[in-house]
Amino acid sequence: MGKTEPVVGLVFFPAFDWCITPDHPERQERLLYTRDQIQEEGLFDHPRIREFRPRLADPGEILRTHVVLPSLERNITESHRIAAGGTMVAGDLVVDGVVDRSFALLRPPGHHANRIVHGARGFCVINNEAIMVDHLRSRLGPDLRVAIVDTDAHHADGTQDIFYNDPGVLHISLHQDGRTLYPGTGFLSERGGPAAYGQTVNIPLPPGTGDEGMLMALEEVVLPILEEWQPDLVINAAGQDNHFSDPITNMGFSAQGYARLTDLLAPDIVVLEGGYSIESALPYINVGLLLALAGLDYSKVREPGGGRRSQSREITRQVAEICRQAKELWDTRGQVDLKEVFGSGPFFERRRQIFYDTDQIMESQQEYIRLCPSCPGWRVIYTSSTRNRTPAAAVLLPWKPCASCQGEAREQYGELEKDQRFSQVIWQEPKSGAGQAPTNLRGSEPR
Amino acid sequence: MTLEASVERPIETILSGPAASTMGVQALTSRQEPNYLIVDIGGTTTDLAAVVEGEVLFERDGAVIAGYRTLVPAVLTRSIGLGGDSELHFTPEGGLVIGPRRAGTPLCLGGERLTPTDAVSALELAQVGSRAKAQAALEAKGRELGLSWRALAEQIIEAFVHQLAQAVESLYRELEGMPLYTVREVLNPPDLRPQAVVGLGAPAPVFIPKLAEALQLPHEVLPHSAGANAIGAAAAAATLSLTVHADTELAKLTIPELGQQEDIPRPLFFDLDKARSLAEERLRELAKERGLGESEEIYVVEEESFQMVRGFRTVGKRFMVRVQLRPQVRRVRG
Repeated sequence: MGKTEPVVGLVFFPAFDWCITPDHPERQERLLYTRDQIQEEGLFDHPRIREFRPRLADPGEILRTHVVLPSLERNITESHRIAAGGTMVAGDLVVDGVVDRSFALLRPPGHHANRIVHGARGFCVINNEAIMVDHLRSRLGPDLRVAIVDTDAHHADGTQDIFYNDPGVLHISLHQDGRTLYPGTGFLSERGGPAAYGQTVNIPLPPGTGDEGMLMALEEVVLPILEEWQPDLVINAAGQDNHFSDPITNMGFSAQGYARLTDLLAPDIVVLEGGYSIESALPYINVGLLLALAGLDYSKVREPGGGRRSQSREITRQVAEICRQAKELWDTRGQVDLKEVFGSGPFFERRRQIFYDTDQIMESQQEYIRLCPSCPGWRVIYTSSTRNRTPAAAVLLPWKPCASCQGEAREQYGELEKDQRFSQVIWQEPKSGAGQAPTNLRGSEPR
Repeated sequence: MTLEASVERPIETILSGPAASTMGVQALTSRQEPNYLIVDIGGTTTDLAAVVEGEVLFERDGAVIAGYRTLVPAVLTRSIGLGGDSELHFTPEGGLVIGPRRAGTPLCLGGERLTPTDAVSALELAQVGSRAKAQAALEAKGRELGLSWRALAEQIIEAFVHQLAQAVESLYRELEGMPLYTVREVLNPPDLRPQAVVGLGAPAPVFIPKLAEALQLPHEVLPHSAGANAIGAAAAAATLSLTVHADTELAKLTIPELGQQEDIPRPLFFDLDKARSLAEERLRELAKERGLGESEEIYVVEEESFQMVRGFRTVGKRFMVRVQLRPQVRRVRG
């Protein structure tokens, strides 16, 4: 564990002048009551809670992570750039040692945004935490090990997509079972790509799961996995829509449960995701979360309508079984014959249809990953959608590509560029600067 | 504020000293720039305040007294322990740090320890006390450090200006770091940087030109520097402010400054314009009641408007409007 009296950096950006539509859950006043509650509880005045201003993300910082069609300008608003920039500020504050932990309490959210972006899905266009992870790797070098624990009620399909073949990232998502909620994915069987098999961990929880079930999943699956994987940074994508009062989900968490989760997980960086019970839940969850992050007493935080909800015995039994399976899949990830899962090459092919609920777009994608023995392998993705009908192609290099993958990818890019069938051919190559030594990573001091 | 008002709400008089200084500056300055920096150099401390678009900046959450935020409106000032009577600390590496504590009366005025004022006196930058005493003391200290008295005196002045410039930079950094909550503000952050330096206090004529040079800004040292504070208090006209909170779901509006709560007659038709004109009307009435002029200009300090949605349905709106009589300072010179 870190310090007992951590200093918390709060990057608060409620975007009081931005919404999807005025009565959409993602609307101007979503964080208004949260601001009032934090202010009234005096947390802005606490010496260990310091507020920081967000910044605008540069287009280059977004396009390091995403391929945006037909262009970045056509898809994002200034508010998206500020949310992504604010999340990077939160990351920088921690790795630079300005604060011990940080909380990017901002909107719009990002965890449903895939690597390829044709529009908005699940209220998200660009993925704040993924952009931050790539930003930190570009600063500190590609060997940074980052764990993302997503506790939103919705499966973090976008973050999973971006990192599913990335050995530097461990992605764990706890969520309401995809058979009962958008986006309909996040099953135990989704375990990651050939270069990061087992590093995608999904824990689908039955509707009605309360604090007890969530804390069980945390203690029996998430914490042991983190202990074993030893990340340099733990990021919590903190959705707040598992709350019993949330209007668009069916879970039973309480503000106390969220605070306890934060306390046990002890994340370095917290990034807000969803959560639309803006009066009855968010103010209390955020106050509890901030108190827990700062190592302060959160036991008195109570939302209206009475704290904890008990869950049925049947749910407890189901959660225990899911936890057992998830842990077993993790423990046996090294014993799986990857040839059986991904074939014996030279490429693994994946075809998908992706629905953008917010913008009502359907995307068709075909992806080829080079099964390379010495690096995660280069990739090519062909994509078209009901918005961008002429297909585009993207050639992607992983972090730390081998020389032969670099050569092959370049050759492929050259050929595609000559091909008239594509509206655009995009080259994406993550690069790392002359990384300066990070000062505040877990690896540098015993946990 | 008026005398009667100070009897009714004595808490609002806290930190009136620095406020008077800034009003004195507004009454006396001939600078036309919308943004400028006010530097009040004293014997013990130097106070900094910022004027933006012709208005002195106020603390967002009110005056801070002994670490407590009081919510009492107060001018935003930052005080540093740097003045004519400050202590000098020579570091082994040949550096010099001035302050933050006071050394006492300068040697040239009969004190016992070397101060920045002695350097001023010895270099004849101003007529202060006994120049001979100051020079002798600098010579003695200079011998210890292997410097001529003149080189030492110049080092002291330079260090003073350097520390002052650093304090100015950190004030503006702090101001620029204040959180912004809307896209509009982040895209067009207010320009707070000063376009001129206005100085007051006894040591101002010596240090302000040098500070302005370091900051590459034009400057002005106020006449009657030492009394600017009192002039400000006399020249300032009384001001008043008031806040209207309205909730159309509850059909109630409250004005905490008046201790009033009342019904909103037709909540469906109540909007931000109505909230604003109501606030202005009440403030005008209050000003009249308090015997302040009717012609005072009213301006909106802050306003917010939010919908309240429950279960995907708009159930009402919430407004907050804060209005104030524009603080007027009568010009003392043209």
